[in-house]
Amino acid sequence: MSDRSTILGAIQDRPDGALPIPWPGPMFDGELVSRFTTELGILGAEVVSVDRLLELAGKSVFADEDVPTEFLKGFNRSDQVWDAEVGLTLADFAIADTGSLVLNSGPGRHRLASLAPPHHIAIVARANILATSEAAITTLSARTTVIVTGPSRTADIEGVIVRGIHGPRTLWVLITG
Amino acid sequence: MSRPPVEAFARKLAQSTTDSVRRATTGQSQARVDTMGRTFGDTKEVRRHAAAIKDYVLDHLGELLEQLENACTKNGIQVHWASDAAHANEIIVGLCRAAAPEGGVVAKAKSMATEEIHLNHHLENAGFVPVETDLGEFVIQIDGDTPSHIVAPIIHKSRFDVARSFEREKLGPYTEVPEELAMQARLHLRASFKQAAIGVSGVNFAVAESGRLVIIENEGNNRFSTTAPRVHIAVMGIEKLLPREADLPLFLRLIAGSATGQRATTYMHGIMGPRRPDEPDGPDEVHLVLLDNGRSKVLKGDYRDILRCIRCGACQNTCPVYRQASGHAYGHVYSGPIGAVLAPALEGVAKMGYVAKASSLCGACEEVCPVQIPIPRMLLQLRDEAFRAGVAGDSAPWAVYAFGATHPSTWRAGLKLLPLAEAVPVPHPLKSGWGEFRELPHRQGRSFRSWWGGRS
Repeated sequence: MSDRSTILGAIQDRPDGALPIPWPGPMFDGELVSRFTTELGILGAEVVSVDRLLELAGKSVFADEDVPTEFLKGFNRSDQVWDAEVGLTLADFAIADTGSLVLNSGPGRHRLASLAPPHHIAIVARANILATSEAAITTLSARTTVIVTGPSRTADIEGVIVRGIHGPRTLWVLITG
Repeated sequence: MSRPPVEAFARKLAQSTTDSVRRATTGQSQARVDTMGRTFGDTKEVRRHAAAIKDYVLDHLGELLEQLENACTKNGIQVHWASDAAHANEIIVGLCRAAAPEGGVVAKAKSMATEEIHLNHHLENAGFVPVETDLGEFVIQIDGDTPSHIVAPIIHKSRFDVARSFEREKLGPYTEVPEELAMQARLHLRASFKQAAIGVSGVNFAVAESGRLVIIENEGNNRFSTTAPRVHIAVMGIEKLLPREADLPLFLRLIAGSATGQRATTYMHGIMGPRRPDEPDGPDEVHLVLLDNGRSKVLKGDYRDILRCIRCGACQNTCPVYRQASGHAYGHVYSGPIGAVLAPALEGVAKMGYVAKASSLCGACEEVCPVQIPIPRMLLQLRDEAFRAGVAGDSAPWAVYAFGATHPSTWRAGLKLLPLAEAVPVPHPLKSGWGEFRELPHRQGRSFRSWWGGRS
């Protein structure tokens, strides 16, 4: 007998009993951009203006193919995702309540661009900032998705929070529109 | 008098270890209270809601597993079933051999399921080099140690312990600064991500309706391990299902809040299959190994509710026994209150029943559990089972007490002898164990019975 039939044969379902409706999420009041900015700040990341990109002039950048070229000015465009100093990606959505970014994979979207370089910059449209993760979950694509909430971190050594353990140490978000 | 194993272990711990564990667990407990309060206010209602959803999963597990299998297959995820640890290891080693016949590095992301089946040992025997890439698990691996906490594997170690290990492994110049130690690990482990042909991970939640494998983490090593290698193998206990995508937000909030006091973990990876032809990166193959290993048996028995567990570790952080004893005392991959039920439930009372004694039954674990598992009630039942099976009897003085307390004439005779016993200078039979940290009661003149009888 296969393991599949052994396991399924050992499980006796109790088909009565209804599935509760999904939890609707917490009450959200407040302005989306300011709440997103505050939450992102708590995480040790920040919302920046386009001018701040000048600080990174000359650095090597690995960018999603769909990033508008106006954001690439001053950078050294690189095709080496493991070695680039900056990863520049679009975010499909942002979540104000938790300061999170939703990044769907797709054509021209390199999954490592938001992970391998020590500095990640994500661009999100103002209209795509949603209130809560309960609202955002319906926007997840049928492809592999990442939700990013702040810079990479660990607290494994004595509970001390260290940023940039494997992924980016610095996370900037540019809000457009 | 021999002590219960968990207590005996706790007594031998270095003070510095007990301090590390106590500091970390109390800190995490406070963070949990703060964050859960901020998100939910009163948590009772959401915990009840989450428990009801997990109960639905357990009631429909067969149906939902088949639904998950279909959805995953549609997504291009290859599903494998393993009834026990041996089969799971066989499947995983087989997949690794097919992906890399010449052996080589396997990038491992933290996973309790792979700890449960001792996968690394089997990979090594098959000629592979498993590299644990979570910082804590990496330290565990280079030290030849085992994790002592579900979420924080090196909760029992100090920065000085880590510093000595990194110096021994020549990862860089000696340092005791957590930031510098972390950067040494980052540099060292990057090479593994680039080198590995295979990445192995666990799964936090699998969504039956969509076939999405959800993995949460803070470091990013899991994303690397499941993105960069050509083959990704995910190992998951069969109970870790959610019915719908819409159930994810609640459970993501509960696990982040309960585990580390975060409002959301840094990364949520929602895997919908291998790299599509139009995508620039991601693994070419994704495999899901569904692990039973005793779970379907637990489902049929009195400890069914333990399968609601989402492995947040909140019960470990809040447990006064865990805080004193640390995880290794329990002698099992799963420790603390959850382990005290799960270990004997999965492996039998004869082997693991002794851990059910490692609790004061204070109820803190049930109070913090995000899926309302009635752990204290289960511990009582396990103790009863263990007693009946003769594996965890009472110590001699308590056996005498139990006999007396259930035989009134013996009790009365004993009371009459008490003044005589006190006159003889022998140590009190309970002094060395139960009475060591407790003030034993002194006789207050006459007995309750004689007082009650003479009352007017």
